[in-house]
Amino acid sequence: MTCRRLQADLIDVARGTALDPARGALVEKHLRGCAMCAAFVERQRAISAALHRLAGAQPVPVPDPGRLNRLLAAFDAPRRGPERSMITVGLSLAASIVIVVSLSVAWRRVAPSGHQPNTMPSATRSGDEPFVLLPSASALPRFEHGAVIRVEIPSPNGAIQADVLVGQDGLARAVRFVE
Amino acid sequence: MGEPDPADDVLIARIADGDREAFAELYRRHHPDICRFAAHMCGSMSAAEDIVHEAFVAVIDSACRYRPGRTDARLWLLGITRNHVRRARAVRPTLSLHDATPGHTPELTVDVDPLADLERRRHIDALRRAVVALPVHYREAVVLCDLHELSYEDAAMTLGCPVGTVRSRLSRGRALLARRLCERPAEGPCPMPPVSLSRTT
Repeated sequence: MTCRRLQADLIDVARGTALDPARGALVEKHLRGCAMCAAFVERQRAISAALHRLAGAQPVPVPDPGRLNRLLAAFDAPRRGPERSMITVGLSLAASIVIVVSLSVAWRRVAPSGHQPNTMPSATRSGDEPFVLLPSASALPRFEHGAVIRVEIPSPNGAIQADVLVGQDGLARAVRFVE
Repeated sequence: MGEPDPADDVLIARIADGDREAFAELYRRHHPDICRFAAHMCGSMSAAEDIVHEAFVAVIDSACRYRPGRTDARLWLLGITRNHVRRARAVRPTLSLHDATPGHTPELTVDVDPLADLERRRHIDALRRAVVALPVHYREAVVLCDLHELSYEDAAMTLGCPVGTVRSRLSRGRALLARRLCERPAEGPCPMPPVSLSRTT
């Protein structure tokens, strides 16, 4: 076994960390025959002692009442709730638009001319139709409240409008087409 | 006889419910340890205080996500502080190693031998600089395992990596430390005591 591969074990020996018996016997045998590794262990013992002194030399910090007061003021400030940055909301909206585009393209392919597909025909014709749940929404927390955002999607056959239902966390839950 | 102090887990649950006294108690209880960790990591007590402040602000928002069975409160706080040390390092890459921070009085010592004391302080300072100069992965392992005496398992939990990774980072960090401490040009002798090769037969 090479000395380099034993380095972590040698450091455990220097730190006084117990090795498993078989490994310990192997390392001990190696140390008896290798002056370089023995010197390495001695130096690492010196490092341990020096680090111990360094830990003891660090003054114990005293909590500063002024800082604690500032922290308590931050504590009393209105909570931000779950961290949902504008970027997250924007990305969510972008993802929902991509899904809406994909659905609309698929729908147009299924119903090329005059035929309404059986899947959600009326939903695309009336603003009163229910929303279609997005596949990703099932993994999200329960919908409590939110907002409907109308988006316009460019398409070869003219712009398509859709309503995206965004939940309390800013993530899209459902969509419906409007024309 | 007063009531026993509530456990850290209880305090964190209360913080999640908006109890400011619980927050103040957690701060008082863990500030010294967390601040020492940050100071060892960045080499400056004033920078450490700023980092600890930011870490405790994060605690306000993170308390509701704390899971008592999964980690220990001290390790959880060290983990949050570690993330803030890394962020602060990105913003302030150069940190001073010495500050005369009000409120941090140096230890009271009786100088029996002023020269020996000076030498001791010089060695400690050299070691502190060498620790701060380590690459951050190795420094974290050295600070947690050697200066805070965490087990490999606890250090791994704090750093969010396997135990073997902590062990290998500690090993490489300490090897680097030994090399750096003995390669200091024109700063005096190596701060390590001379090595005596005691061979067993």
